[in-house]
Amino acid sequence: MPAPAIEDVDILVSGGGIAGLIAAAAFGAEGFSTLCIDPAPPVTDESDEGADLRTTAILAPSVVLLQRIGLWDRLAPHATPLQVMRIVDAGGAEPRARLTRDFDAAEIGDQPFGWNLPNWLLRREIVARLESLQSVRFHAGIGTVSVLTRDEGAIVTLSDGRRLRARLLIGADGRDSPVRQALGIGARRLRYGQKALAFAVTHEFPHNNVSTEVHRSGGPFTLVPLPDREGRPCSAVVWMENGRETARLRALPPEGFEAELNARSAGVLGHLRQATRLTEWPIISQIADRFTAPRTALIAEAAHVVPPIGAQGLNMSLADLALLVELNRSDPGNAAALARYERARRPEALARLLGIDVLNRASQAGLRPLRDLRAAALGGLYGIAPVRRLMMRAGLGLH
Amino acid sequence: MTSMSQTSASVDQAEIAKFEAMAAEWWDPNGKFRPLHLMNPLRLDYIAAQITAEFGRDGKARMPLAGLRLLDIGCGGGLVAEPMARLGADVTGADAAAGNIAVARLHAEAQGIAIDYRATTAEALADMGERFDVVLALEIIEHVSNPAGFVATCQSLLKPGGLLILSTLNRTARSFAAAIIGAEWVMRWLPRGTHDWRRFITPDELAGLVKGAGLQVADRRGMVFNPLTFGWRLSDRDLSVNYLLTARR
Ligand SMILES: Cc1cc2nc3c(=O)[nH]c(=O)nc-3n(C[C@H](O)[C@H](O)[C@H](O)COP(=O)(O)OP(=O)(O)OC[C@H]3O[C@@H](n4cnc5c(N)ncnc54)[C@H](O)[C@@H]3O)c2cc1C
Ligand SMILES: C[S@@+](CC[C@H](N)C(=O)[O-])C[C@H]1O[C@@H](n2cnc3c(N)ncnc32)[C@H](O)[C@@H]1O
Repeated sequence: MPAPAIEDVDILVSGGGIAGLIAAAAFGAEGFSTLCIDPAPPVTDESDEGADLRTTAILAPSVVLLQRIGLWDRLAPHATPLQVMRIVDAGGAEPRARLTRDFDAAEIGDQPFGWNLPNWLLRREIVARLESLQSVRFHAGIGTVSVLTRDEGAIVTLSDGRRLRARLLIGADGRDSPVRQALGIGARRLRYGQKALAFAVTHEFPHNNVSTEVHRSGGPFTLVPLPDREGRPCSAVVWMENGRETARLRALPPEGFEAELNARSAGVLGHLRQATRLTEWPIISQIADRFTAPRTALIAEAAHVVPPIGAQGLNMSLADLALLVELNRSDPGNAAALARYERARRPEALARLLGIDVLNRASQAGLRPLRDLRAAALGGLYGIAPVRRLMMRAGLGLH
Repeated sequence: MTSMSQTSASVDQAEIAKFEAMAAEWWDPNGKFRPLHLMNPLRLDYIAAQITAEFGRDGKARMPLAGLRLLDIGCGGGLVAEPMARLGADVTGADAAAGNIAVARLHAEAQGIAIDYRATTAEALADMGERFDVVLALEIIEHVSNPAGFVATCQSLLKPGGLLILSTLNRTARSFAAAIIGAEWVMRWLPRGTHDWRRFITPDELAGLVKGAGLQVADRRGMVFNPLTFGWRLSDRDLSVNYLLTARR
């Protein structure tokens, strides 16, 4: 009984998270025959069970890529600009803002730092864009089962029994990447014992396109601007705490939770009210030992995971993708292009990961003297304008 | 049998005589074929992965190669033929040295494994019209008299869509150091003169022969020896000493 023949494609994207979907759109826009697969169908409505209630701050360099591949026009109408990044230290004896520093995008250019979009909406719009691209197919409900990389192409067996040979296989299948594991590529993981609660709130005062990070202990508490909801100003919250504390918070009755929420926000936007259910995300840092194998590139969380500080995760992933597209325009998956991708992206991801790791550990600090030191460091660095501008530009991934 | 191999284009009688003289040692893991025993787990993994991927077999099944007709040409004592039969393949093992075939046959019988062993050459099998899903030609091409003709014969032994897997030694300074100085002079695993470095073939030369025979090159991979652990690993960059090449008809 002969097995069904192998189907040839230019690009196979394993994983239809936000990074994988954008990768499919990018290579599809180049005219390559592209297939994207994911065992989980994308949830594209905020009220659906399992909707991803996180938001993603898309920073300016990522917008350039999204424009080029025809996605930005769809996203722009839903995006909230981020003009100012405000860092607040509330690490004193009382949970009050004792030091506030603003990083204003106007200092380094005439554009906002970025634009904030809900993840469920990103999925909806990217899937719609894929449908309009002749060269792209997106098959949900199917996963990668096994991979053999040959010089001529990566042979991938899917959960429906199909076999494909791709000139370039893109592993965008998340932090436990089946592609990475199938290739025997290890990953180094740092644990913090933290979890992030992600949800939306409405608040008393308008956000004025300011994103605010409040530091006390356990991890940062971040408010990122969203469009008004039912006539009230609205923001997305990412609240990082150690795992035991997030479990306690989640178990509180609504009034109890609201009290804790308002204590933690140090009142920066006035009274906060919870507007969606809570979703919980484990926080780690992780980097794959290699980002490539013959005919294969890892991108996004398959390659690197960082805590959600400074909106780096997806933006690093889009920088991976921008370079991958540039290098593979003529002959996708050629060995020289993959070697260059590895040399350029892995050291960059490692440097960013180490920087974010330091910021996260500083924000976790529970002891008063450490917290004071953190406030002093922020105040000191901030006072030096070139350093401040450097910090802003580095945050955007500019050099 | 002898007359057949004498007339066969790829057979180099002096080379065959070297292997006849060592035949008794095939299954001694510390004997003259120690290098092959050490690299066996790695190359078996590679070969099984290539075949299961090409023919859509479940690598985790008990007999993933069931129903596939496989020829191991230059099978020696059967170090690869036996594991292939255990994975379910219908194996033919051929070697021009009759002494090797006698040893291989005895060993397979003792293990209770059915393999069709024949003291013959690739050319003779091709003349008989035999066709296979997979042809393995491992560590043999550096011992034949006419490599291009040998690859063409392997091609004619394949069914359309069939897979040819070759392994051999590159012709580099490092392969001279490893295979001649290391294995023959220092470690004395192999009798001096087992290999003639000038007959080694580079990956590009081999790919050229394979394409010239009308086959498509699917993959090349290095096998790298670690002298500290005595372990072998696959490499997509280092093909400077031992390497494998997979091609499709
Ligand atoms: C609370 C929080 C807030 C964040 N905020 C920001 C932000 O503001 N800005 C920013 O840039 N980044 C942010 N990030 C990071 C960002 O969410 C991720 O970097 C981004 O989602 C990229 O993830 P991904 O697509 O690689 O992985 P995932 O979203 O995990 O996607 C992986 C996909 O692979 C699929 N998969 C699993 N198994 C298989 C298989 N066998 N075959 C095929 N597919 C498979 C999964 O179903 C999944 O859909 C945040 C992260 C967290 C936790
Ligand atoms: C180095 S051994 C390799 C044995 C086996 N393939 C392995 O890798 O374990 C080379 C073998 O090829 C055989 N041989 C050499 N030339 C041959 C030819 N022209 N036809 C058939 N067998 C040949 C030799 O007799 C010898 O057994």
